Amino acid sequence: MKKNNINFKNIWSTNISRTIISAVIGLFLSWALISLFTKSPTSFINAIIDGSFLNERKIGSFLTVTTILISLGVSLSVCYKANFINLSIPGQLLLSATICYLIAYKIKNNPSLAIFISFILTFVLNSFINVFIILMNKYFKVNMIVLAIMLNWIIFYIYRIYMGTESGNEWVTASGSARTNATANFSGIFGGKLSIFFPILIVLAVGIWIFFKWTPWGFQMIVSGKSIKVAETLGIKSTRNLIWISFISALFSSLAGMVYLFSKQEGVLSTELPAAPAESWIGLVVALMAFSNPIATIPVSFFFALLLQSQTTIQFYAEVNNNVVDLTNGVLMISITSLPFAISRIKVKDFKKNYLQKQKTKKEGR
Amino acid sequence: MNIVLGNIVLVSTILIFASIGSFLTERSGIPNISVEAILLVSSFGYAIIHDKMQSQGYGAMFLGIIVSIVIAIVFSWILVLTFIKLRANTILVGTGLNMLSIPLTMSLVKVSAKSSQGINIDLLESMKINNFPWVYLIFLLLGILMIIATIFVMLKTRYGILINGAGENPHALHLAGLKVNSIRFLTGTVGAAFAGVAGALICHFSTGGSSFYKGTTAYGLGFISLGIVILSQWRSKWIGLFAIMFGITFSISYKITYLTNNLNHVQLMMISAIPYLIPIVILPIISKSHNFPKQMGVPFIANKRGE
Repeated sequence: MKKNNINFKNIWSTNISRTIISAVIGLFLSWALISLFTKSPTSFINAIIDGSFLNERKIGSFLTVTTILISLGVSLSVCYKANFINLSIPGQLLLSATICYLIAYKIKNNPSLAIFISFILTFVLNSFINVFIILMNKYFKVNMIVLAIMLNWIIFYIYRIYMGTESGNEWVTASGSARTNATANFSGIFGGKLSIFFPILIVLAVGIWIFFKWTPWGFQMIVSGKSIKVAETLGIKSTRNLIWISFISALFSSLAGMVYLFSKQEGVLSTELPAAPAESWIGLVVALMAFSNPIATIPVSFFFALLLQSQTTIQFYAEVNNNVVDLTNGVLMISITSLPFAISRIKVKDFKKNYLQKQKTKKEGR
Repeated sequence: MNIVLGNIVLVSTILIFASIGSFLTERSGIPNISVEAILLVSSFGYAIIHDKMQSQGYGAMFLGIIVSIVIAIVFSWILVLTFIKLRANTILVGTGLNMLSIPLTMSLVKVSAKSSQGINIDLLESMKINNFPWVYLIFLLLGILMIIATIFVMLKTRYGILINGAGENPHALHLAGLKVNSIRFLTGTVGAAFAGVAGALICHFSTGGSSFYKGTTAYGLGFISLGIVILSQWRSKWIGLFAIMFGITFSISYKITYLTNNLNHVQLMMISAIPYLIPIVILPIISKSHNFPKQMGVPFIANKRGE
């Protein structure tokens, strides 16, 4: 039997290794940046550990954030595969969370029914947003990125209509929005903070990976994403595939919105959310770092959930704004997108050879 | 009424400068979705100069503008250099810069502000937005002059041809013995300088001239300027018109309560969404005859054959 030897000399020349090196450099840079704002930069590590593992409640919260990131990561990964950078995800997250909140508030006595209706409604709306962007690009040549950004802002104002403190709606109280029992049927593990969505999302992520890896339809979608010309030459209907991909993406972004609401204390949605919640942007980095691989989004989401959770304790340890942690996400995004190419240009072998050659010439010169 | 007029003049000026910056960068082939981030970071530079100089006057204003231009240039180099040298996807790097800018500015404000509320900006009475300040009219005129200059440069000068060439057909420039990446770098830098002026004026808009600068948002004006460039179909002659149109729409929606008290919350929010709704309505009509630079977002590799 032939032995499958791993060539360790080339292991650092793969895309994954380059991305890992870029992420490490990005982490180091962001740590250096954070240390400008705090007297005790090492406390950042304490904040990460305590923010996620201090007690059962923190562990539950950490896993819920991981669930949100997995769903956003898979949602974006699927779009990346079709060469569709879906910047409408922040808006979809906000829209899903708002709809889930309103339905959970209206149907207080039956949380399961509320969750079912929320899921169907958010799925339909998110699918509509994705399909709208794709069709506008296909038939009117509208720039997808700008359209998505503008839609995000419009969704933000829709959110303000329903959830703004000045709205005077009965579900918005002076101290924020009112409580719902949205989490009632989904508590139990880790102090009631972990919903059933965590295992569901893991299974779905693996399912999507299998779909793309092993089914002909999944392969067709990847081919459409790589080159529309090639796909159409082969008789693959690229627009139809793109629309199916937008449905899959909407499924995961809807789930993300629901879990986002459940991650809030007692199902209370803040009245002062930004136009793009931090989790949605991190979803972009997760998908990017996972190379659009749905299974790889799981460990990457764990990593970013650690960073996000440190926001809850960083103020206590380092006396800085809790959003200083977002610096890390921005720096990581830039380093992961730009540094792999630079790393690929470094040739350790050549460097070693040139260095030895120089040393030899120097000795001979003497 | 004065406050609405003041806002219209100020916001139009901000949008003119930001759009020219974005236009030049994109024309040379570098997609720039980080205008919002550049505006926010450069506005911090302006605020800190006001704070350090303890001055309310025009001296601090002009020094502040220079500092914000420098900050904008340095910040935009992240986008430009990662695109030119590292062949990075500018959409993702731009998103990263947008993610980075808010916590960076907020943390810098927290470290440098003397008050817990933010950096105190108390301008001269003649510069406060409530009094319809004439100084902003001068800036608006300057902005219009800059648009005329941009049109002239783009249509009548050699540099304009080079910028267009870098975005449309960089290999032709390369064959003519010109350095494509240098042209892109220079144009990106000039574009950032324009965005820096807009960033400085954002500071006046956010505080109104007499309150605390917090560095939390650029009010989505960077994204609107991006919309202006796309609506104007990357044509310099339309930028001014769209910038003023959006300036009027944004200011009226932002300060509508000063014009009428009869609007309820829903109507107010719907009016606020209009500046973002306009591009969605107009884009499908005009995008068919698009004029975007053919090689926008494609890094220049000298020995690579085009399609």
